[in-house]
Amino acid sequence: MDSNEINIFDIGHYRNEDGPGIRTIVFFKGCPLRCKWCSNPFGLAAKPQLAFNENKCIRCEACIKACPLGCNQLIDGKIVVDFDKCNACGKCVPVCPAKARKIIGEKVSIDELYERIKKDSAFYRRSKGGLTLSGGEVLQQYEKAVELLKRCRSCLFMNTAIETSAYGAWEHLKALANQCDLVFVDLKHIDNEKHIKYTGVSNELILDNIKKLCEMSVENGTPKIIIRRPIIAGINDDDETTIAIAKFVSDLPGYPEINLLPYHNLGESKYSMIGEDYELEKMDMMDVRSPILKRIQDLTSQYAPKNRVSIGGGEIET
Amino acid sequence: MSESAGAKMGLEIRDGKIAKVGSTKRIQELNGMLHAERPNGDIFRARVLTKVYKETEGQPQIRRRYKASAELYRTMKPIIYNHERLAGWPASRIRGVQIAIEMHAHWLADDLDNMEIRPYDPFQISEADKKELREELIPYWKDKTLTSLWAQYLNEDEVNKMQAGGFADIVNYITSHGSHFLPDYPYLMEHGFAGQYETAKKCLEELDPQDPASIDKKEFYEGLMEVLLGIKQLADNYADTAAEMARHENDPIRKKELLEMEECMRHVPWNPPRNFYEAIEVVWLIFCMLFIEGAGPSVSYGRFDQYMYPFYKKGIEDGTLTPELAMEFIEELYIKTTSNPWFQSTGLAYYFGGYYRYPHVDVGGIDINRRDASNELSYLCLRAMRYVKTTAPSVSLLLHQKTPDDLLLEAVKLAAEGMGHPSFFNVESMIGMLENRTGGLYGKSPYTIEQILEWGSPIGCVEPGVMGYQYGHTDSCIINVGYAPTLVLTHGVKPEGVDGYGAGKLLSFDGGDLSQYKTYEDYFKAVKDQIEWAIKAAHKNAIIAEKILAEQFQLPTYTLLTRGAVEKGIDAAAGGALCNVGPTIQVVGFGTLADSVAAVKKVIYEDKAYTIEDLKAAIDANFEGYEDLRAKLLAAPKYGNDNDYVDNDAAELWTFFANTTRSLKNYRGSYCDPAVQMVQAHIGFGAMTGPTPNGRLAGHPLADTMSATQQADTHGPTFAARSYGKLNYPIYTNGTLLNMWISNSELIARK
Repeated sequence: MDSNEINIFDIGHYRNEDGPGIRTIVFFKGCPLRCKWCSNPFGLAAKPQLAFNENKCIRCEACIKACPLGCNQLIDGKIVVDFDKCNACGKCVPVCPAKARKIIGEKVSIDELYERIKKDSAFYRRSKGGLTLSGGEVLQQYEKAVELLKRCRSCLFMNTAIETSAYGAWEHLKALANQCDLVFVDLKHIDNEKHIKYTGVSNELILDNIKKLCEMSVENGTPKIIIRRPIIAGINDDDETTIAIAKFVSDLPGYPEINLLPYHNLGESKYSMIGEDYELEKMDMMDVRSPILKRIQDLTSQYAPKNRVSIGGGEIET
Repeated sequence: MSESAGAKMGLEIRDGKIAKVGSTKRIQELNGMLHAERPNGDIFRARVLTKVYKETEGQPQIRRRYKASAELYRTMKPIIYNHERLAGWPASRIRGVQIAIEMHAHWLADDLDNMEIRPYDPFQISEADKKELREELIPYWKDKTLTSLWAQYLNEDEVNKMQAGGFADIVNYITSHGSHFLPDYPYLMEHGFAGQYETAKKCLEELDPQDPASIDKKEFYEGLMEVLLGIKQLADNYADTAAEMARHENDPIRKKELLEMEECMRHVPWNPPRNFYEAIEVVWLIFCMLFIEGAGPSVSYGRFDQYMYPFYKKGIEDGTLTPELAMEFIEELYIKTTSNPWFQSTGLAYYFGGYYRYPHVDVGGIDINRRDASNELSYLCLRAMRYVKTTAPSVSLLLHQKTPDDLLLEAVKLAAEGMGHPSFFNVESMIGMLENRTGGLYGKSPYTIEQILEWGSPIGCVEPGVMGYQYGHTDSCIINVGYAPTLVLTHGVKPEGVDGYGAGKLLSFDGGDLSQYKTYEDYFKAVKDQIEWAIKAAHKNAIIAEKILAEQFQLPTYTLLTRGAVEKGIDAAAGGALCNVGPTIQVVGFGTLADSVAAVKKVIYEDKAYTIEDLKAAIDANFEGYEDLRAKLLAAPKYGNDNDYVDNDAAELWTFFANTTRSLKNYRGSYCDPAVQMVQAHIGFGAMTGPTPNGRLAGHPLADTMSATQQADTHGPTFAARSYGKLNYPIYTNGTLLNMWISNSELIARK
């Protein structure tokens, strides 16, 4: 990859949950974690990949003719894609009249990305909004992310934020946090074994980085740190976990806000589009008013009385 | 509140289940009374008009029309309901409307039996009234309506095309006379109607009988003075009724209210009001009279927070008024405004359905020194709507760079209620429109910048006007530009199987063989030719109606509320205003047009995936058997995504429409004004429109107002706004309207 290019898979305009005001969100492609509940599987692989939405397919078979590797086949009246064979060359995308195909992931230069973000900047002024880098994992392309954040801050006076798993070298995370007004950092599980089981990686580095982020925030007065807990029934919604996390957070300098994110399954259908399986057991979406969340909120407040505890992305204190 | 709860609340309000809302008990009761009634038609006006016209057969038109208005006001029966403090009703029942017989008699007999069950805008009319209409009133008027007189100038095919063809349409203009008006409230607040009486009297005395113009002017002044005395009588009759009711009233509080009403009605609107109560009574009563005399929609309150503020301030200072009481009066005004349905022809209700009469109340804006003009009343007008939750009037914020954040927040809170209030108007654009209004391509409007700054405000949907200085129908002709790309392909023939008049017949003109469109530019030019044809067809027919209106359909009450018309001695309909607007020409289906030409550019001329003959065959078949072509058309770039590929051609067509319209001169001498404003006409017009090259199927709705096609703006509201930002607004001298829907969950809660 060109050293000036960022691998992203989406840009969201007019978002209002991941930071203050109206925001543009850039989704970085590639993530070192494999959380079973991941709602954005398009962000997992670093390489570009084909996504095929079978529901939109009109079975015109144009893709079969277009594919040089013969990845598409009509089986039992349905188009089936051999994702293992597919090299994401993208030749089947423009020929699909139903727009059922898309290449997930594009390389965009920092200059171009800056220009695209700038288009929204007129809408930030009154709402005090700005840019949030999300993913995937922004840490994996931290040098270019730092460059982008720096430019948006110095040229457009934007409010900037990142959403990160904190799974990366502290020096990298520090460089990113230095260019942010707000850092969302995930705490998926406090128990290391379970963390490894459900995300594929250990939480030692993450917990250490969270501590360092909070220390840095207190020392410099910025950025603001918000710790996000995805709440997944049967995995991390038990009282024991909640109390342990509350204790951990209450010991952190600066008393960072804890933001509880109820599980949703909106990403589930995306798995089959890229030929992957959704491993998590089928369960319903968790309502923001669910009693489980309320209990977790109350329990957290009990053990971390000085930390604000919010529910849902729209409730954060900005 | 979640979206489903909002929708539920809307239904409950509609069904009257939670109608009793409002800031006080009195308002809640009045709101309940409003929602307990269904829209109903009243024939009192038709009866009086018929009587006067029969008695004055052969006399000068102006004398007959003025006498009729005077008689109407003199003989109207006052009605005062319990809980009311503002006096005046335009009809004998709540939610009643006077049927303007001189507009509707030519079609009314056909639909009279159907009136309670017609699909759009049903009305209750009593059996006795129906009988009188059928036997007495309709037979006298059916050959004398504006439409009947207009039709004498045309052949039958043209008459039908102009009313139900679905491409160029003037039906609103020829059935809604007396409409679209910002009355000169500032004058009344200062002088009352007594001032106009003195002016008329003086002008009459000064007439030189040797001047041939004095012959008509004598009729004008004598007629006006009779109308003015009629208005005085109407107010006196209300005062008498209030006094009589007070005499029988046992509740001491209600008795006091009735006595105050009597005192108020003895004083206004003849004399200038002395306090907030009398001032808001003037505002309401005049509004009633304009809806009694006029048949059309869109009479508006204009800059209410400006002309009412001196009374508010005085009341607060001398302790006779509180903000709560002022808001209560405003809520009552909103309830009574909502009570007025618009009685439309069945043809017009097809695309204007919903009874709404498009009244406006405007707050905020800038003053004559270009400073922020907002005051306490601006906030109260916005807040009152959050309490009373009525459909009318459209509360509007005149937005500018110096609008205080608090006022904007108050407006946004109202927007979050999801009722469609408030509208937001960009003051800078509106000033640009008013500076150019009626001036044509190379001229300027007659307004001074001071007049614009002081009293410029929107009428009805969005049309810019200056209070008291402007008269004219601002919603006259509709051009369905979304049809043009199809009509090029069908040689001007309306496709089979769609609604309205003339399916399978020539709707516009045949531009010739398709093989001549060798490049996209050739095709683009042919689309423009179709649009130009439609603009000119509507214009030539509308100015015939304009001439008839000026000669035969005078409007004395509108004239009295048009500054300078009395001094000039010219009726408002004949051109008495400083700025005479209309007939105007409106765009429908702009997004459909933009997407259609872009799809043709991409699929036919650039990718060359199909030929223009293939496209014609697909359109003829409503895309049946052409699914792949349709999919490609649907996949082409769409307007509303900040994509210059579409937006640049859209902007060119936008400007082309405006310039073509502004080059046309109207009967009363001013130039035609273009607009984009039709709030819901895209549905009715869509039903009359065949398949379009953007992949839309026959009969489906068009893109609304100037918005992107439904679901085509896939990059979110900020990118849609960037597309809209590429268009030139001040050249749309009759206003522009953008509808944006943002779901409740997309809003950011302010803590």
